[in-house]
Amino acid sequence: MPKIILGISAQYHDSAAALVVDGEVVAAANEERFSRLKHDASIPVRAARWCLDHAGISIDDVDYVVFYEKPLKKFERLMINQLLHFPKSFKAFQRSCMVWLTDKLWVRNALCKDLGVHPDKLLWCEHHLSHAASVFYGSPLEEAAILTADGVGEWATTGLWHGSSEGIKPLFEISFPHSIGLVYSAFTAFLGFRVNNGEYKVMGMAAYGDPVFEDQVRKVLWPEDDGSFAVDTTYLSYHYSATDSYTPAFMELFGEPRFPGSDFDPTTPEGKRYADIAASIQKVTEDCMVGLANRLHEETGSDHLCMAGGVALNSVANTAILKRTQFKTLTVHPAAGDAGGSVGAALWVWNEVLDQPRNTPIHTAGLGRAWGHDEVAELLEDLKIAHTDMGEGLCEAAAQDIAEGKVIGWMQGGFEWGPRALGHRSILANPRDPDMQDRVNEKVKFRERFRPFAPSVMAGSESRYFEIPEGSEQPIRWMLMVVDVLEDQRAAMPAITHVDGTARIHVVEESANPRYHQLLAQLGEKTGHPIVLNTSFNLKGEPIVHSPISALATFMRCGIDVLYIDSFRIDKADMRGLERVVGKSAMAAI
Amino acid sequence: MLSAAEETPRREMRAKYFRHALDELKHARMFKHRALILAGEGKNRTRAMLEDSNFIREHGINQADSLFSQLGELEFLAFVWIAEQRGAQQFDVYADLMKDDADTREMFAEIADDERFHIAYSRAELDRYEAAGENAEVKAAVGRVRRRRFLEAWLRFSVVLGDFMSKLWLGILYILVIGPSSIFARLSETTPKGFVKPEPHDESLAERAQLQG
Amino acid sequence: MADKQTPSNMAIRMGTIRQIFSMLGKTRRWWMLPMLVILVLLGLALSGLQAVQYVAPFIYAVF
Repeated sequence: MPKIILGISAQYHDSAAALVVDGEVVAAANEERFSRLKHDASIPVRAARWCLDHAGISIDDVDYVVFYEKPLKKFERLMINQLLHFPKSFKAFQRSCMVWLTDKLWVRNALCKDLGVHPDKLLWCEHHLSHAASVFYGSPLEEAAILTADGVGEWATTGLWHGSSEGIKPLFEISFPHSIGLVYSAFTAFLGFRVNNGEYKVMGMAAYGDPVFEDQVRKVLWPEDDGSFAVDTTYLSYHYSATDSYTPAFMELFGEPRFPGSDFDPTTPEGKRYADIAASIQKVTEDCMVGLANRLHEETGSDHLCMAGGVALNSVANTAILKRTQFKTLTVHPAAGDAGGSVGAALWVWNEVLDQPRNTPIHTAGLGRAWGHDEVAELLEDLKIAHTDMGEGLCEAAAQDIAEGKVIGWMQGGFEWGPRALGHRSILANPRDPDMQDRVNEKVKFRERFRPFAPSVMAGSESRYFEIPEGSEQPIRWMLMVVDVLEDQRAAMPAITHVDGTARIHVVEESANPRYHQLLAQLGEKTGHPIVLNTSFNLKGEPIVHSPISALATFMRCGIDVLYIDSFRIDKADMRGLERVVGKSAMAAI
Repeated sequence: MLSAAEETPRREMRAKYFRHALDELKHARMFKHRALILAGEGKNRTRAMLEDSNFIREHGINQADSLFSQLGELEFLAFVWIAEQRGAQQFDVYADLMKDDADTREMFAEIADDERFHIAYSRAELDRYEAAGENAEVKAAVGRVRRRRFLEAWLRFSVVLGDFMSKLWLGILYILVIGPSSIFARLSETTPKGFVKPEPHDESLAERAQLQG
Repeated sequence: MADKQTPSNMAIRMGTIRQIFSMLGKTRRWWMLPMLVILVLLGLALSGLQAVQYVAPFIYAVF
């Protein structure tokens, strides 16, 4: 009888469910894809239900349901912290207790009720151990050093581990309130972006600036000689405040914060200041992460480094770590944030609690729900949407559209696991078109102009366009590294070359995504360049599309020219009554 | 609404629910655009709120099942019919208040067109049920929807009152209990800096896995 | 396992409460005991009121 383990992450941000059968991840999904609430943190009932349906089983067939952290330890840390900061923690105490005493403390009840599972089947993994397990047991590596870093788990904000055939052994941890993730989030808030959502915008902004505020940042967060790091909490308030993450002392160092939603123009003095601050925190974050990685290398002597936790989504820092340490390879979990904890917890149960041998590593991001050809055909008929079934000619047609300068929506197979669009739910365009960045930002994504786009390139061709650091084969498959665009290619691919000459690339292996690989191959034949601009298939503020209906709804409300769902091609030029759909005022915008 | 289009077993309803969903999304965008124009340029709270991508979320209580699957098709249509009528009435009032602002009035006029379609199709579907001899079921569904409004208003009041009372009790608790406990905390707790060796565990792995703390 | 009856909501909560105090014992943070007792009782009361949302306003009126 197969052993079935359901992993759950929930309660903070990006809740998710993952199903592991005999040690192999067979399904995994973020709850937000189903609930359509961005960063949905509730118990992932819909995602769990789908995982079970996908495997053709019910909750009664599941042997264990494992939660990705220890809630009582977290509660302990919260309470002690509020005691230590009496009376400043008054509002935070009220707010957190309201939530904890009615909800989070009783997560065992919620899991039993919402998932219909018996409490005897519930297991609990530690937060950072879930992260460590997600990347190590999800990889083919038999031995590796593991670094986990995020805002905070129970008490730990950072973990250093060694993974081997004997399991994942903890070496060191760094405790709250010393946290790279929380400091980076404080800067995110200062720069006018939403915390736990805008951190990657800070990365994008950093490329426009210089680290001239590095000394000031090092008063807040700095690497220590032994490889650890420290934080001066006089500049920060995330450890006692319900609403703010930095203090007036922080503002004395860095000036006035950026007003949320205001325009960012790096050519103005104010804009340059923000960009410089972003560049400075980025630099210091990299220095801290490199310090940690170097210490790990000293402790383990391993050639391989694995990373997970929210800070591992910092693709720029990942490149710095690979370049500035002795590690030969880097592996990052595709859903390195809290969602990935669901996979990690489940794999930990299989590999360590049940002491079972390793099984197939994660090789594709398309672990989510797929829709069948007939399902899609029936839907398009019912909605009376003009379409053409391209059959075997799908990839060639899509490549032709891209080559002609069209922006296409691409919905194929199961949706992605993790925050990146990797050719299952993507918007694609020609990166060599000089107008494409502005066009996609303004008419399709409706988002800030300074934000760059990322390229997907067919495996085997990446060195034609980019400087690929040795050992980066895995993270570039999940779009988790930023690399230099070759100098002679930068002017030719303005849509995906950031202002500092870098790009966050996605290398497409045939085994990971055969259809997408074929599209790129076809594009290569038509244009000589098997590379596309790839951005996530969603509008600003909405989760990435998951179903044909959500794809159609998004397609009709923005400037995408052609939509491909399975082998069906839907051309906006053939659609009638669009003005009624988008409204007169919005027609010009798309 | 998109969930209804996905979940309805009646294929002929998919296009109507889909169009309705697109209308609601369109209205949200129209309101946002108009609000941004009225907010004016420069730094202001309205603009910040509207530009905050996370502010644009679905409304309502997030439950594991969509409203459509909770209510079933008939009651869902009754809900749509009643809610759209209420919405149309409210928009009439807003349009009247905006008589000096031609652009905003025009926006409400465009929305009112869509609302008329929503009321019409949902009523037509309820009429179809009645024509099929389900008068009593339609009447019961409409009754349940109307009663639920009052129950939901009561629940909202209960939540607001609960929040207030909880805050009050927690405030008292903070002063009387947390205050004195904080003295002990400051005497006994340390905030470790730098690398800390993880504590060894007394229990076996299997036992540890059973513990929430 | 499928035949095992699910314990009641309160029984599951009691299990969590036992673990809270067992954790306290392991970490020897006895000074937290009074605070935790009150918080846990408050938590049970608030969760109980959430379960009876329709009558909660009447209870609040008394307490």
